[in-house]
Amino acid sequence: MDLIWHGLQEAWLILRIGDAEIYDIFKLSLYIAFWTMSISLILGLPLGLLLGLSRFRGRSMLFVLANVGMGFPPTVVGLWVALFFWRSGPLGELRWIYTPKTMIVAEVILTFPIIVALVAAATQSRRDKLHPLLLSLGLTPMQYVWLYVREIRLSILAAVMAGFGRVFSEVGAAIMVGGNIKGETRTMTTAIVLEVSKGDFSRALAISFILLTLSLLITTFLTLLQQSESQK
Amino acid sequence: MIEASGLTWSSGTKNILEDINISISPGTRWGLVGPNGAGKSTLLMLFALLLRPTAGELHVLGACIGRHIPVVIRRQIAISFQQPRFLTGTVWQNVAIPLQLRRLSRQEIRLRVGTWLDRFDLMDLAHQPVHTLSGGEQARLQLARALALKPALLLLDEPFAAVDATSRSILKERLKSALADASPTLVMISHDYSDMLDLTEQTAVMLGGRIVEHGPTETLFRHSKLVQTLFPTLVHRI
Repeated sequence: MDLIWHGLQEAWLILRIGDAEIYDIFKLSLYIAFWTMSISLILGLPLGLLLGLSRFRGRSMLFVLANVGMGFPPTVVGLWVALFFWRSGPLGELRWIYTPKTMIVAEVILTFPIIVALVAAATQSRRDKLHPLLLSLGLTPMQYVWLYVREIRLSILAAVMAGFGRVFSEVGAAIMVGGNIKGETRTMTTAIVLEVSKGDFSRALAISFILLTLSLLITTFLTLLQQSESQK
Repeated sequence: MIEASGLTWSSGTKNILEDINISISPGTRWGLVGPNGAGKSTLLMLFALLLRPTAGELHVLGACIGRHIPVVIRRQIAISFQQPRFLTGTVWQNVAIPLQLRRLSRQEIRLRVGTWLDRFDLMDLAHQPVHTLSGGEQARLQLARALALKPALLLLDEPFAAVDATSRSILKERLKSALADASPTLVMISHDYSDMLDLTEQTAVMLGGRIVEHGPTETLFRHSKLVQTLFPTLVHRI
């Protein structure tokens, strides 16, 4: 119990005084989360809508792939991304290995299927009621998509929350493709792993508090938004 | 307005509608009657361009209905569904959003939404979420939304089914006066003969996916044995 109490006190001290390295780690984690979610949403939302609304050959297979993708083991994804971006790998010339760019690539591979699968499921479950209504309103294709997205926005918010959860909890792929380099690719999760391996529990706890607070703030904001929308 | 010849619609191997031939002139008011499963709602969905014919020809508002249906044609049609369907949001938004998407001016939208909510006694509920409405209020909202679009073709699938007897006659009067003002072509389904006699000029009787009889509503209801079988209490009215 002493270890935890002492760790908490130290952590509080670090947070109060401030620490340039932890601040950098915090900034990089936010940067990676922002780009991961943006890319996953830009790619995942249209594909999820397409899967939920259309009937075409290979659709079931794409559904299966999206659902399988939700459970991709991060270390396996990390391994494959590392192999592709390794100096002698197919994309080695880009020199992205051990940079935040490869970390974003790996995180997108892990998050994108969650967005696709959840948006597709929400789209499909509302199709029978919503499709005839929207068609009957005489909409252009763009207006149709806009209204459909408006109607399933609560499910989209749930998908975004699940995506953020994945990004903030992921560590295996981030270490493998980022290398956990100080000042370069160290994020909050990878820093916690490192500090615990060094036996520096107070620093690990301090970072974990920041991560937890950030995660709570984002999830609370999205949940409040979702609930206020559901009252309408 | 609507021309159907040899119109067929199948689900899998089963023909739900078979060899439908009907001609509906602009401005006329038609009723569709028949027992459950006769294909009335499916035919209405075809007229609403929500389904595509499996065989035969269908012309609605001068356009032959095939793979591509122009938005300009869809925008002249409004439907009130048997099971009410709404967008998430308030009563006002449900009438206003389709008008906004037609890029009408704010003033015009405010005028139309206000007018039609008022005509169907929904003004007090304007800012209430639609999911809090009763069945009768939902029925009124569907009519208000449809009529606010100023459609050339109005399709109503059992518009009074969820309305109690007292409100029904009031609502019917409101609809009657709205139809007199806007004079769209009307196709309506109802299981109540009085709706047909009060609101339609022509009636088509459907059975097993086919139109088996059609003609002026009064005449048909007075002379058709089939119609009298469908509405056993009809004799009291005629």
